[in-house]
Amino acid sequence: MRNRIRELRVERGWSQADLAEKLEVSRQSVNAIETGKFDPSLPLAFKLSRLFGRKIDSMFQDGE
Amino acid sequence: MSVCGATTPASTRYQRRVLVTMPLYLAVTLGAVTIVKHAHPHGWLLYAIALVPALPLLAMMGALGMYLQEEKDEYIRLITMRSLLAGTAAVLAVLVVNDVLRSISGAAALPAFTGWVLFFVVYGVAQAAQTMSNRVRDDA
Repeated sequence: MRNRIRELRVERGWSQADLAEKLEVSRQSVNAIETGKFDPSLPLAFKLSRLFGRKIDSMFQDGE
Repeated sequence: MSVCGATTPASTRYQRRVLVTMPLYLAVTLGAVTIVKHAHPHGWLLYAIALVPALPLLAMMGALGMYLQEEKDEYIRLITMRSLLAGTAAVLAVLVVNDVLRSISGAAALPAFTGWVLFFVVYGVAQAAQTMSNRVRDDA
């Protein structure tokens, strides 16, 4: 699944480590989400949604 | 334990538990071997003494299970699950092939602890491979 997490993070001037800390996950998780290697669960997607103030479907696009 | 280079509170607790079970395993194994060698127990007592060293190993597996339950980072948990699955599949594959060879061609059984060692080797390799495929850039 494609997503805009890296773009949204960079817009805010956050490093992967900053975002990982805000989400309470590892930096490796943030990297895996940004590179599309891992799709987050719904609870984590909602956390991202709250953090960036965006709807989930505006951050994640179905790659099909 | 560090998964993909990440240390989490759950992995630290897992590491502490394993650090307790390993010296315990060495101590009870040494004790069991010494008792069997010098006291020559037999029958059920021999089996009971021989089983004692298996307990810390079972505890090690229990620690892995507890780690999976406690790990809050879902990506790290996924990596661990995949690695455990790879280790389990490798052990099952090797054991079933050996069993077939033993039953049909009379081949010898694998040496003791082959499954245990194989499991952790494949588990480690699977973790390393996944870590390599998700390398984190220093400037990101």
